[in-house]
Amino acid sequence: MFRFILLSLVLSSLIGCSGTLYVYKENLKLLFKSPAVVSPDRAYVAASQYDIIQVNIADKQAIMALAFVEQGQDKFISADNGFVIFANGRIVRTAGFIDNLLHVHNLTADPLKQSFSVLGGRRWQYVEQTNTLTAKVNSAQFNIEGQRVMTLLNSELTTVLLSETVHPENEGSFVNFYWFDETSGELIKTKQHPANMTDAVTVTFLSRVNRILSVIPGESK
Amino acid sequence: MNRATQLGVMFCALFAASTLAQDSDYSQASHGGVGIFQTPTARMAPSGNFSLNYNDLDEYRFWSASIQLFPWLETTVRYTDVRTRLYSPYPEFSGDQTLKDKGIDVKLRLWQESYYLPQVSVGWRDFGGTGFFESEYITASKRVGPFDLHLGMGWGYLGSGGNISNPFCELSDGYCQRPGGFSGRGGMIDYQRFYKGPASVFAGLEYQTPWEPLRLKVEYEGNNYTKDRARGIVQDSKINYGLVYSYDSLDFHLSYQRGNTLAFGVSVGSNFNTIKTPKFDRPPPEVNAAGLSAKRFKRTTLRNQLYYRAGFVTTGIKLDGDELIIRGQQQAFREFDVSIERVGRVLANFAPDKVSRYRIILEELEMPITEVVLQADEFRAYARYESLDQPVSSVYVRQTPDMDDIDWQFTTLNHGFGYSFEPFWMQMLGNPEAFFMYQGGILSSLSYQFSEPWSATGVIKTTLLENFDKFNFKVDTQNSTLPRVRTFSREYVTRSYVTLDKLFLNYRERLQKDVYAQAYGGYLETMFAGVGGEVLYRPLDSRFAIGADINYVRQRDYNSEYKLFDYSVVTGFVSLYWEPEFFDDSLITISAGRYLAKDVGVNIDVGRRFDSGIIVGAYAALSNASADEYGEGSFTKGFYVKIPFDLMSFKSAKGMGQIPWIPLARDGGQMLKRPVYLHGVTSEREKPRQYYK
Amino acid sequence: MRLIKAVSSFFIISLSAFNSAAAYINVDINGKLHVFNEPIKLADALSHIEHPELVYWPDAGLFLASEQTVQQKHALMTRLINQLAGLPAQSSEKAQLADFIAWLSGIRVARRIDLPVEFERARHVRKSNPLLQEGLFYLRASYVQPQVLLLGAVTKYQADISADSIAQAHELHHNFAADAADNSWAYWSVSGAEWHKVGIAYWNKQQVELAAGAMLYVPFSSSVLGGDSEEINQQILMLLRNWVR
Repeated sequence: MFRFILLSLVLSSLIGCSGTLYVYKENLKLLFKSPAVVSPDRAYVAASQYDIIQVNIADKQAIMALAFVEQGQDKFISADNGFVIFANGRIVRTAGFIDNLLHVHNLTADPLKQSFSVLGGRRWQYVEQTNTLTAKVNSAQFNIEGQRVMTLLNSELTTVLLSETVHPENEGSFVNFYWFDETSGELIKTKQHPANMTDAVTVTFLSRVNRILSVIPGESK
Repeated sequence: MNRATQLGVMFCALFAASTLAQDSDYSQASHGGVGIFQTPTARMAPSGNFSLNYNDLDEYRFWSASIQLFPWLETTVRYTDVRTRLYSPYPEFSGDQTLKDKGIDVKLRLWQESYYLPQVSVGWRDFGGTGFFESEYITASKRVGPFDLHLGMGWGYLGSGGNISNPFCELSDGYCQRPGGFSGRGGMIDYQRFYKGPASVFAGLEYQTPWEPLRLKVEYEGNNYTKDRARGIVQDSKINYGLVYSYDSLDFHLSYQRGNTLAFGVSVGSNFNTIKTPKFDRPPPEVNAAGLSAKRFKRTTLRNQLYYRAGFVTTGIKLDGDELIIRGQQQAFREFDVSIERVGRVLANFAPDKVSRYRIILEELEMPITEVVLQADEFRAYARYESLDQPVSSVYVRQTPDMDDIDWQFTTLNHGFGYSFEPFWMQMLGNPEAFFMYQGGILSSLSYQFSEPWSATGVIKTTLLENFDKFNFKVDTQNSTLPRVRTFSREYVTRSYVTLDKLFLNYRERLQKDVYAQAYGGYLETMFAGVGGEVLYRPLDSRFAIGADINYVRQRDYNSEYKLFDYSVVTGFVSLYWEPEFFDDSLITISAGRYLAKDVGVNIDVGRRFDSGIIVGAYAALSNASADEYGEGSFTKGFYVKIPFDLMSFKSAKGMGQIPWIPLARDGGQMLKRPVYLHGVTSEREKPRQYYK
Repeated sequence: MRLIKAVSSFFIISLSAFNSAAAYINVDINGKLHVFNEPIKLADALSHIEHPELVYWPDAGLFLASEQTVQQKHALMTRLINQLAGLPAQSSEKAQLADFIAWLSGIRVARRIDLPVEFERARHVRKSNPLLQEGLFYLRASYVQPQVLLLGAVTKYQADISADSIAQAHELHHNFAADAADNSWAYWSVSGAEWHKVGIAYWNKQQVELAAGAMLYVPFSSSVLGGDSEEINQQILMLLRNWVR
């Protein structure tokens, strides 16, 4: 008799869905449902009301939309109100992340203000400030790596790759990459290492790519 | 949460900030605790730091855990494996297990370093045990650029080399010799030996190399190893040197000690104040400019929204003119301010607009614990970022709920079933058969709530992991003159994989504004069944609470689920709960009364809660059972660590898991594990911690 | 009779209307006063800033004029003046403290609103865009100057630093007032809202890189401020939080 009561108690507790169990289930859901990394296709980009970019960090991806274009800065916003702000293709500020890039000093001397073709061998120095780290001085040198053919939005584009080798003071070094469309000179893709991110940030300017592809003769709209 | 939002949240949330470089990251010594190798230094780790260390020194192996409870107090617990000796001369008792020892160290900082003065600390090593390494010391540390200089004086193990004459011996002859043996049966603090016998000076130097992860250390020690338990240790040199390499939260130690031994070790560090897991809860709702019109207000909608957006299970709603009263229980959010903010936001959106005041009565076990009053327009302005007052605690008022019965317009069925699953983990360390015996599994609990205030609860213990087949004996061989109230633990544990842990009826009620009471009867815990009751007086936001409990119990038969042995006892305590102002976030519980083995005494429990919610505590039970009656260990002591569930989860959750660590459980000074503790039930009465978003 | 009632009600109504209309919102944006008829959102106030792309947003702040804060400043000054009296005449410590008191008297303080001023987010996220109602607000969002501001027991008020370099906190000590300054600890800040302790002595040197726009407060030692120097320095830091530059 006693064993029967015991057994029914065991069985009923197995059916339960109490507070703790719910939390465990939810956690399993979150862990297994990692976002499938799928790039949007051309039709999606063309149909988008706003200029969009694709941002990849480590194995995570998000689409961000252009919120403001002001005083030479392009400001993109993510679904959870994070901002990434570009000046001449360089990430100069972020907002809404756990750690943010607050400011980049000496931007008036940023070589990227000029056309990429004259940047071979150019050097400059700048300072980055984030929420958590103290200021970081970087010495950088540009180098033109040459032509690269890229496949974006299922089409091929001829680009010129520009690399920027950056030596932060007292640390190792990293390289930023900038791919410029050969014909129009617009920046269509970049891989950078802003101080607030531990991993590299790869940004593809999807709407710009779409516009460039639209004017190439022979390409369908 | 739809895919895009989830992606969005994860996108921002996963780029955790790198912390500011810790300049005060001192490495652990071979025995555990901040130090060089054999010698401790005056340095302290940052408050809340926790380090697990393993060091291999040929004859000895040390496993230690060191925790910085306060910026000025470091405590270390250690298990030592003496490789060159057996645990006992009897292989049928302990097999070929080597000699083991447990020890506790404490270090106190006397004053901090300044421009001219060094940092000075005093410490006691390996006290309260059988004292393989028992030492007392005082040490000073001074930093000059990348060099950290240390100088200290030690007595006992650290001073056995005797390279100076003991200054206390100059003052009094009684200090010239160190008495041997231990008082009681080991486990007592042997004050009579402190600072006696030979003393030595020791010194050390640490150098932070220009390459950040690498530090070099060298020390001159005062020990001569002639009296070590691991016999036959040769000391070719009094200078030990080595290095520490840090990688992420790991420290790798490599040293050359005594001029002839290569030693290596590894430490894993973490900090109980800063540990956290990102949370992917649904964000708190945005608040509209006005509440609902009277027509659109629906109690069921309000109840659902309170559950899904605020984790609040509502058991009662009453709308009275311009006041809305709700009562219920917070299920999801551990921090009080977070909970109130969410509930307030739901009320602001789903309560009628004409309501000017919200009263939220927070309950636990159907008893009202605290009441929070929000002025609707103030809260709305706060939640819509229209006022510049922050934080949320500036817009609510906490008060004691009234005793009057409220005429609820809506109540849930206040009876029904409830379920829960909780994992459990229990370990016994230092047994003769196997060093580390453990048992882990799931406690499945089913309860039925009759119309308040009665409930019935059953708990089944299902063991999933254990290694008790290593036990040689079922009966504890050490004879104890006290009734065997806790030393049958192995018999209880090895009976079956599925056992009935608890089955009891519970009655609870709030007697007065600040007085709570309960009574329970049935199978109260693994080893005892009976009846009992408790009363607790706990004013709101007070640092003090006082309670009393009394129980009549009989010991459960370990061969049966339901039978009882003849042994019975009346056990009860008067308890004072105190949260002192001068220690941050600590609770001291002093209970005086009668223990299970009919001994009488005082139990002192001190717990410290860190910012992450982790609680580390220690307790000691002093009773009139003499050390001889008690047996090995001399008095009951133990530590525990309580970890909130939501530290291991991506969603907010309430509830904590406890990991007890009892060096050796005997029969003296044992309290009944009551099924419900009123102090825990009324935890909302304590002043909420400042919550920083 | 009815006419009198009507006229007086008219007066009463218009009087109350006039009173409520008189609740203007004054916002001093970078030194220029703007007056608004009704409560405005922070984002709208920010739109009046010229050349926001040149602004050093890390140290932007919003303040509310507060009598209490001004009284705190006066109380602190009184306390410091009392300390002055106890110092030996003609000593350099006395001169340093007197300089600092003079500097304090010239600064404006108001209660800092505990909200980071984030230019983009204020325009997009409700949480970062509070409503400014009632009172006189100060909004500061200025361009970055190529210097680190030095405050407290110092002989120079700024250390020049170019836009492409940084200065180590502990290397700035040649600007400190040798006798009056605390020789072990200083406090640095980027925003003015949060101040961090940094070790600057031979025994506790910490790597803290300060870029243009940062501030360093050098505390007065206990030989100048007496036994309560720790507390008084903390009070000064609290006041610096509320400094409207």
